[in-house]
Amino acid sequence: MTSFVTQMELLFSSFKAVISPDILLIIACATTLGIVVGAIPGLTGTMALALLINVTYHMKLEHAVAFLLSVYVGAIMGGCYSAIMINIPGTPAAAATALDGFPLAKQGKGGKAITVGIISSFFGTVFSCLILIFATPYIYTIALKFSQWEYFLLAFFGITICGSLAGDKSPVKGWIVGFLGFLAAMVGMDTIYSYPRFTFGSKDLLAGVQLIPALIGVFGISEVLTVLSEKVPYTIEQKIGSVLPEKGVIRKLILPAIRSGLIGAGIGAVPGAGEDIAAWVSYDTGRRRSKERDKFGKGSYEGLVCAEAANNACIPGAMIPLLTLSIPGSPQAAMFMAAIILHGVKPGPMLSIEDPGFMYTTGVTLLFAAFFMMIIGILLTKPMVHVLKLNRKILMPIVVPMTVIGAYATNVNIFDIKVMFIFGVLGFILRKFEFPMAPLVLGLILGNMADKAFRQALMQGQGSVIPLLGRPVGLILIAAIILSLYSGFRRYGKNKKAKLEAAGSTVGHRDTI
Amino acid sequence: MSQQIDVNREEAGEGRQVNMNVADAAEIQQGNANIEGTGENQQGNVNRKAAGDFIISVLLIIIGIYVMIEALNMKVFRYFIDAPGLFPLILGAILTVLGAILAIQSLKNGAWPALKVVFSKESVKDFIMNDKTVRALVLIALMIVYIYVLIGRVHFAIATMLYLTATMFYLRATKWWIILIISAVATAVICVAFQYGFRVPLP
Repeated sequence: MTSFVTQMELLFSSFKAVISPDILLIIACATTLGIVVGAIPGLTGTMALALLINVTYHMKLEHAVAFLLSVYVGAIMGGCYSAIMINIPGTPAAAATALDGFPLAKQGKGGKAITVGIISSFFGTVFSCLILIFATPYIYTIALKFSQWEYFLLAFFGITICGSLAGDKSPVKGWIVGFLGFLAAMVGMDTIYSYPRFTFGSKDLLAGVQLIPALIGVFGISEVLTVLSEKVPYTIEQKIGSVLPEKGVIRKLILPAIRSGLIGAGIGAVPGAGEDIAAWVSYDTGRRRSKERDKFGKGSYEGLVCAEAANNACIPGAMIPLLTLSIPGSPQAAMFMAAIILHGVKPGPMLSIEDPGFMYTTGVTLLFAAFFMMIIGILLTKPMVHVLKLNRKILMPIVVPMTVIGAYATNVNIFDIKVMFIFGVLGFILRKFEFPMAPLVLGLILGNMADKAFRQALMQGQGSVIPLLGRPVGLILIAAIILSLYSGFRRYGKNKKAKLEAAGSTVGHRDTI
Repeated sequence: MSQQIDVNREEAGEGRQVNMNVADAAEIQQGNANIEGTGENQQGNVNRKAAGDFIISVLLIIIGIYVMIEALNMKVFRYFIDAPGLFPLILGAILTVLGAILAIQSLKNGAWPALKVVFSKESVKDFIMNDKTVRALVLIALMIVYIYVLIGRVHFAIATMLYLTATMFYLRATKWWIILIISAVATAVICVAFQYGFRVPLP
């Protein structure tokens, strides 16, 4: 790790680089785009990023980074408009926001709730950014010592923890999806001997399942199908009211915002656990810690802050494992990773040596995106009511040609469109059976790395696992894997018990029939 | 109404309830409608989930075993420990085990009686005639025509225009002439923006 002074110099030079009119303009436009997309139910931030990756192919690296990160920041915040006004989260990340936001809107305080939500999103992002900027150099020093065995365990841990968190009601489903992602990554030529695996004699499959088309399918097509196959009429009844919050409200909320920022950054850094999980965990912690516990769920600003600060804080947090270990912290971060790899940036521990400034550029860009998000977000509060009235039966079909272009543009290959479509339909079916999608993405990304690292680690150990078991970091990771599996199973047991008690009467009823 | 139930669930200690998306929210609303409506309907839902899990778990076990067989047939170059088949072999085993766990869980949740219900004549008929199923299938069929038949044979703009018009007509999005205008404008905007604005190649 280089000295603190060098780090600060890098930080300032990235500040200088980001404060240029073209980058600031991109940040402003992309944040607005993100907010609008995030606000419309059915168009999620993940989908927006998946579809917009191809837009950045011909941009300069800094522009692409600014563009994608701003869309990401804007989209996660944008979800709060629809969550508060119509009780339907615009993105999954805003699901916890609706719990307190919608009751507030019912009381005629919708405008105020949105402002509070936006400001706490801003605080959450900023705290988390500071953590990203100041903690990442230390993580780099640890990550540089990782060998193949640790990388394999890390990938495995990513799947177990992500499956356990994302497959909330049934962790087994999360794990299944994660390992299916691994399996999909196995398709094509293997990384050591170029031996074709699971290609079924198809030439197109030799190169394997391309990541970006698969992501577009899972988050684009399957979302379109999910939204359009349901009849979801919704109406905005609440009057929005004043957007200026009452005096003193903001000051009282700084403490929960800091705590939620920390939680968000932490959860964001866990591989694959995204904004929605961060918001739920923070909301839950907030309720337990709060003095006005009984107000939660009935229109508490504090609950709103907990959810909104945490989901936005997740974004910089998700960048930490991405930049240090090349393991994205959330599905959206995975898209970001795919995009910067196309621009020639190789995320991972070597990045701290090859391009030490990149991490600071990311952090500073996020700071500016958060700032623009706050200003544009508050300005957009009133017009947003009209955006929410857009007809989704018109909007969602238009997404489909964009998914086609997005899948095609990466390699200019018609076959990729078909891959995209198949993953879309598979994603749609799996979702219907309540399988989470985040572990699938993580599995797809980490699959080849896990395979290669595992085999090379075994070769280093001369075919024996015993020398590998002596490595301390490896042991910690193994313990973490076992813990994540154990906690997953335990939660399943608990959930089931609670469900049985709650549904006791129904069960009895079923038995009699 | 729906909001209240949401909150109660949250408080009932069912834990964090991750509302994945809009459709889920809508489903909750529909679920509420069911609760208010007939008890039978709601009960069918509970059962069906376990049955679905069971079917998926059987598929998973089959996939897992297939993957293991395929992995064992892969070429071993020097040692077994760095053979291409090693990792897939382990994955196949893991998927089989997870499939078995899911099968056991679903059976405990009452998958067996549910399966009989699901595959009964009326139920299959119900499923096929169901609004949602029909709509999902038609939407997928339209996409298949668009992606597999039209793209590559006719110009992308024409294919897109046809797809958008057909889909919006099927969904009865708005009046027919507005649909025509919207699909034409959307196609033009998408083609021009991506091809010339972002310099992205179109299929």
